[in-house]
Amino acid sequence: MSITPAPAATAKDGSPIRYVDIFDSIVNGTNDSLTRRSGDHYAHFAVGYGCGDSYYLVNNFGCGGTCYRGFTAQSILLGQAGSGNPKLTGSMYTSNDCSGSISKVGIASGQTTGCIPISGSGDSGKRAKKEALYLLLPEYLTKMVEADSFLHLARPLGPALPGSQPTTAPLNVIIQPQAIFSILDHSLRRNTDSNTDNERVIGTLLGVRSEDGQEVEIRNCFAVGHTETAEQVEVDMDYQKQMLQFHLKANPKEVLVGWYATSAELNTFSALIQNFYGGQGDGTWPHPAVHLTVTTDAGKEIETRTFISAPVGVTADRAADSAAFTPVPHEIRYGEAEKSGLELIAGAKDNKDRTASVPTDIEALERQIEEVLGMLDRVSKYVEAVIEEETPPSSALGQFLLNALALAPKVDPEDIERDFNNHIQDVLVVSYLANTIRTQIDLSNRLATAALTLGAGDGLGGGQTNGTGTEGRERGQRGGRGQRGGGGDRGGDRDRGGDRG
Amino acid sequence: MPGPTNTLLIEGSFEELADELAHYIDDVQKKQNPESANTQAEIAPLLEKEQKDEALKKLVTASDVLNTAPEKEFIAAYNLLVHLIRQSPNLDKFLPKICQNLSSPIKSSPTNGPGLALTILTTIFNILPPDNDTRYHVFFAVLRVVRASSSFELLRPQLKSLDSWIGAWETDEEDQRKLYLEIANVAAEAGEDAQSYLYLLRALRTIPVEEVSSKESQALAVRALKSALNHPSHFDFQDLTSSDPIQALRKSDSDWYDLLEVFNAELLDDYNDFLESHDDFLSNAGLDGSILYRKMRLLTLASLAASTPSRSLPYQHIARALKIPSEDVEIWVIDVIRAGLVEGKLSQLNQTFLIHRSTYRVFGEKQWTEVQGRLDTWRTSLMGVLEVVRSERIKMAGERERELRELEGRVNGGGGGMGRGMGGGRGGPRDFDMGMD
Repeated sequence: MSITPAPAATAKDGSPIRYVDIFDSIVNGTNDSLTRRSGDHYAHFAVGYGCGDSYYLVNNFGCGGTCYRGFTAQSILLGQAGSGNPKLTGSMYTSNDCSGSISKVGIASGQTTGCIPISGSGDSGKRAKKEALYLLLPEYLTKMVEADSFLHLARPLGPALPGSQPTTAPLNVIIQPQAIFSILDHSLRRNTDSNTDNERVIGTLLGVRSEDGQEVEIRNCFAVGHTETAEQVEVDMDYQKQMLQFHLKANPKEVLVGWYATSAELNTFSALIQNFYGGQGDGTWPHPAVHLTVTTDAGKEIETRTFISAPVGVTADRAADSAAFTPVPHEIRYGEAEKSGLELIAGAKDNKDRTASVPTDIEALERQIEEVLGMLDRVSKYVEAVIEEETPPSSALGQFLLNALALAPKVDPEDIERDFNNHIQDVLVVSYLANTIRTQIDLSNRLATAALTLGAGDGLGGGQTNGTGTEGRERGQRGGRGQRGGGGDRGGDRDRGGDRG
Repeated sequence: MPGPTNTLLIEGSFEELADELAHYIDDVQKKQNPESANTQAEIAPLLEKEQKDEALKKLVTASDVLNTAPEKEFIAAYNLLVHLIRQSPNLDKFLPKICQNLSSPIKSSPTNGPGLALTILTTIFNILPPDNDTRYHVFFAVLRVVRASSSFELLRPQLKSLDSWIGAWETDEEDQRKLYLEIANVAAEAGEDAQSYLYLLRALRTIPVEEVSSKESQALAVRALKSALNHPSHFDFQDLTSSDPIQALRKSDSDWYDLLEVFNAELLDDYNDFLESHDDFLSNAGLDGSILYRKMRLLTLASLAASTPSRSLPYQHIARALKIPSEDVEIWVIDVIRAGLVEGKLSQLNQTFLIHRSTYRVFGEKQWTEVQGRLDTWRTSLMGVLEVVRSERIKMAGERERELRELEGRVNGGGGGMGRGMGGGRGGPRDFDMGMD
């Protein structure tokens, strides 16, 4: 395999590209000695789509990008120490100098490894041309990724209903997970192949406002079609109005509270749409319209933000198509029951067939005890560190622990075992009785139908003539073999039908 | 998780917008003082020459008149101004003036003025990058407005991000102290003594060890101490004793330190001794004698409860330690329970107080060992429970399966037999049929 020296190039983000030819590495044994500059990172080039047989391993490559060429791998397993951000990413290219991007691959959020089948998907034309993989490990940030940092003390002074004072009291937004799920679903179903580059989708938010108007709860939403081009935006207003009316009919307690978009970017179109939703007549006037943005980039954390808006500009024309978005605090809130439900659903995400079984009570109990044990371990570790004078003690924390521990019951395993056995026996008796009753019912059903089919078969069988009669009887027999009363019954009916024919 | 880079969305070139704003400022100015309404005329030539910063300087200087703008237009006009100055590389130069304007009362809107000012200040705060230390100054302006309008309750929920802000701004200790003290003052004025104390303490912690003997440090230490002592429901003095500036008081103001020692770990008798030896100390220091005496009694009772291994205290014992008549014992016990220092039951019949749990005033190694011991006990018992649950689950699953199999077998056996029976039943006529054929 001949290796053409690659031209000196830099990646799009400015980091220099190193070129590594994997064939050369393997055949000639040149060591892929990359300096390690951050945590452990690796990429396995594997035979087969499931990242099974690794034939080449790149270990601990440093920050910046590296272009790998000449591989025959069918899948690549990317991995990194810790599940934190930023993540290692890889990009597939059609040309061996890492240009002509086809697809991006990466590690899912919260995971430490990601298996990417590189020729299993995509259209065949592109697949054939896959030549190079560009792996990029972003510089590890010394600082934590910045959380949104903003201050919200007062809302912009808005219009007031007649008879009430306008207010500048701050606003707080609560989002029910149901709404977020709908939004994500909408985003997944968006039209991606058309010429209009609708990267984001929008929709209407419905919910309730607290009496003093300081808290808005987003409970529901529906999608609204829109098209955006560089010059203009079109929103299907008739549809929005109709749909809103239907929704209000179905849920009279909910009101229009604002709108959502699935992009974190705000632009002048956002301002336009925001002014429409906050406007008089069909909008949320005199309350502020809440704008919720949800990012839906695959493989990245979902980020949500909420805004209200204030006018900008001193002329009416300017004010109409501009807005100053004010970030407001929000919280995704769900109840205990919803939480366990969501956890159950989330459990399916790591399974290939996307299923999760509902744990039985006793399994759930076991898991919870394990969780509590985990927490206890954590606390014990801290207390040990304090006693060994490794950690500065916090007397407030100690006092709190002591108070909490004063409540912990002391339970003997024997007691639990005895209680448990008593309970289990009860449960078993109940289940045994239930089964017995079920058997009884089954039995009596069968006895009843058996008598019917027997009687019918006997009575009618005598008068049968050749062709149809035989057919009917055969069917009847098939029904009989089904071991179900119903089957036998049906057979009987057919017999009679056949007789009449 | 970086937010959107731009939240102020307005179309139009800098020149157009600046011109519009100047026009507006002139309109407002005309109502006050028609002669000086010439901002637009002044900035027009500057805009033509593209001297943006000069034009902005004029606009910002003239912007104090916006305080008299109608409250409906106030926010829109200010947002426009903020949008304009944000485009300047010398943003820092203009902000002090704007913050100052916003800190002064807004004449056109006496009721909503502070709200309006806060809206603009928070907008400025939010458009600055999170690690820009100019935010610190804007936040100070926010504090000024909050103080003037006594609206601490608005600020309070936001203070939880303060630590991350200070981290991002890389504020030095002196500025941190200023900020904490200002918050403590605002909180004290709003009557939030507990919050005020919390920030005093944090301010105290910013004093570096080498400066603990300075006048400023001493004054601050005494102030924090006083605030802690005077607060009727503050019982934890340990965090104070561990602070360096307070330790430094031992040399400079030994009386204060002695008093703190008494409150930290000693009993009512020691407190009385202290009072006898320091005649006018309380009144001179501005401390409330009755609150202090009451607190001392509650603390003494807590100590008493903590040091009773048998977990039951006779009434006389309490009465003697607290120097109260024995009929008042129950009232005091209830008070101490309400203060959260002790939990327990009063037994009137036996004239004893049965203690469930008590607070340790000094949380030392012994207490930590106790925590560890209890944790271990809990762990062991929970492990036992887990074992039982696990084995029962397996047993139950096995038993269920066996039961089910047995039942299935029985049902299938019985049902199967019947199926055969039915087949046979129907087989009969067929045989018969065949016989006929």
